Amino acid sequence: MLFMYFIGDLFYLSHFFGSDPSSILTTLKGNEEEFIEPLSAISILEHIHISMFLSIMALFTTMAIVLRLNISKRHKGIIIFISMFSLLISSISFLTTYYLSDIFVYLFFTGTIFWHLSGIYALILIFTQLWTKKA
Amino acid sequence: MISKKLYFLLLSFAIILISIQLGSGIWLFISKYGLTPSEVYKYFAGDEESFIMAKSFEGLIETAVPHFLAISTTIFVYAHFLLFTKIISEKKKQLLIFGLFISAILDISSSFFIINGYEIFAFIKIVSFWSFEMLMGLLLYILFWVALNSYKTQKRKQV
Repeated sequence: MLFMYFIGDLFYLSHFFGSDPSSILTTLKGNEEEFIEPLSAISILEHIHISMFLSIMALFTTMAIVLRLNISKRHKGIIIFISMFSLLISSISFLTTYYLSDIFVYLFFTGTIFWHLSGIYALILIFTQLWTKKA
Repeated sequence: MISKKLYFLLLSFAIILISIQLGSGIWLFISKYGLTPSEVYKYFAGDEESFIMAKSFEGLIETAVPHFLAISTTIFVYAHFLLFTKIISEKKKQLLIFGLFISAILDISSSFFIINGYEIFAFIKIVSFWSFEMLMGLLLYILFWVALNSYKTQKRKQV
């Protein structure tokens, strides 16, 4: 189910905000030429409030299992650092894109891709070790 | 055996992230409901002069149900780490966890009393909301302190 969450959330975000930085900016800040209204500050806050809770719980649970895997400490450290740090960057840059500057949208885009992919990678590792009974 | 360094790394990130999540909750509370009991009461019970519609029971349920799950899960996940610490007494641990659950329940359920005209619950909602945020902050601070000390102790042993 966590696997489905990581994949499904990527689809949900690309459907709701857009699948590239420019369409994400259009969704967040609107576009007068295309008559697209910007998202309200309350909607932005509600999104970050809900999505952060879900992503923290999903990544924290996954990484708690990664800690117990039969792989090197360095490998575990890299997975945990990349996933949690990119989630942190993605969450902060989502707010800074809306409130400060458009340039942060690239950080949001990259951070979002990275924490989802590292979550998926960690789950594949977990599945593999469970399958081969290495864990 | 789980590496204390990696455990500290994971717990630190989780604490920073949940702090931001709590921060977004505070920001939302202030933006939507306001800071005073009268503002909170007007938001839920409605006010004809300010053209604010009263909130419906169904609308409140839609917010309350996910919050009951999310807050109880968050308290359970983070507070269970207290069981492995000795930094505060058992009595204080019980008080902290009890305070977290009671303040969260009061915060979520007081909206239902407000829409039925009980003005006092606007005040209770504000007090319980800020109590929950402060207690959660205290819990996260204790966990970070314990994780940091445990990491330092392990590092000293290795030297």
